[in-house]
Amino acid sequence: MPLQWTQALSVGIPEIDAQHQELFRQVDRLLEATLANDHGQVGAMLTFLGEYVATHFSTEERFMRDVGYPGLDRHREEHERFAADLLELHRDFAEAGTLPGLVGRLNRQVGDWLRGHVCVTDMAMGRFASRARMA
Amino acid sequence: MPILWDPDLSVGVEAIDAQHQELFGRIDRLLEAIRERHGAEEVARLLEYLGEYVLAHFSSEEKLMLEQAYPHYDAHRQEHLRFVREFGALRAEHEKEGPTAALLIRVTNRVTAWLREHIYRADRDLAAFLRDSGG
Repeated sequence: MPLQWTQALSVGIPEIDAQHQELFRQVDRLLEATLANDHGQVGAMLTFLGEYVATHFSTEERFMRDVGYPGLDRHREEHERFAADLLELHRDFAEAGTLPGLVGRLNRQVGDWLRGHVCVTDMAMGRFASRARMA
Repeated sequence: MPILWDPDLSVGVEAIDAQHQELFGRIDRLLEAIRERHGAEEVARLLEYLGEYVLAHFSSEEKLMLEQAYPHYDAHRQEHLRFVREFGALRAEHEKEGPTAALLIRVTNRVTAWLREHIYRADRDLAAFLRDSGG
């Protein structure tokens, strides 16, 4: 199931929206590589995705600190749990060389998680930021 | 998700293998501290603990290389220096941002993955040379 970014997922912060779009694109490409059984590509893309996730989470966390967002700690916890899951997925893949069910894990642990996190947690951050801007 | 050392990483020289295992043990503790949220102070301590051992280990290898007149000393040492710089950047990042999801990902990708690749390639070559030269 492709991970499509739509305007409905906008959190109202252009830089973060742009990063979300890129994130979704990378996950989609990773899913394609997995379905195509391209192991070399999958490994490289998991590393690349990890780096991008790190950059993106840093951007959000710095933003939240800058605007004094009270939900920062809880939001950070979600980021940390996801990072740990992503690394574990990468490690399992690296150890096995292949991973039956990788597609399923990518869809569930990465795709679904990202969509849900953006929809709920990042949206809340976006709403706070826009209220803070109007104040 | 502990234990990053695996027998594949053995280079066949006991002293070097022992140091590599210690290195991975310290990385393990660092990653665990970040994942389990032991706090910035503990993570800083473990970053320093790891950094110290990285330097000691690299010194030890470089001394061996010089003693045995290893022909690829310069290139190998350059790799060590690049890693030390990269590691320094991660420590600086931690000082600024604390033990974040990004740090967890970057320590795993840039430290662990780098070391594994370096050991598998560069240290194996060194070890083969040392064994051949009776060192």
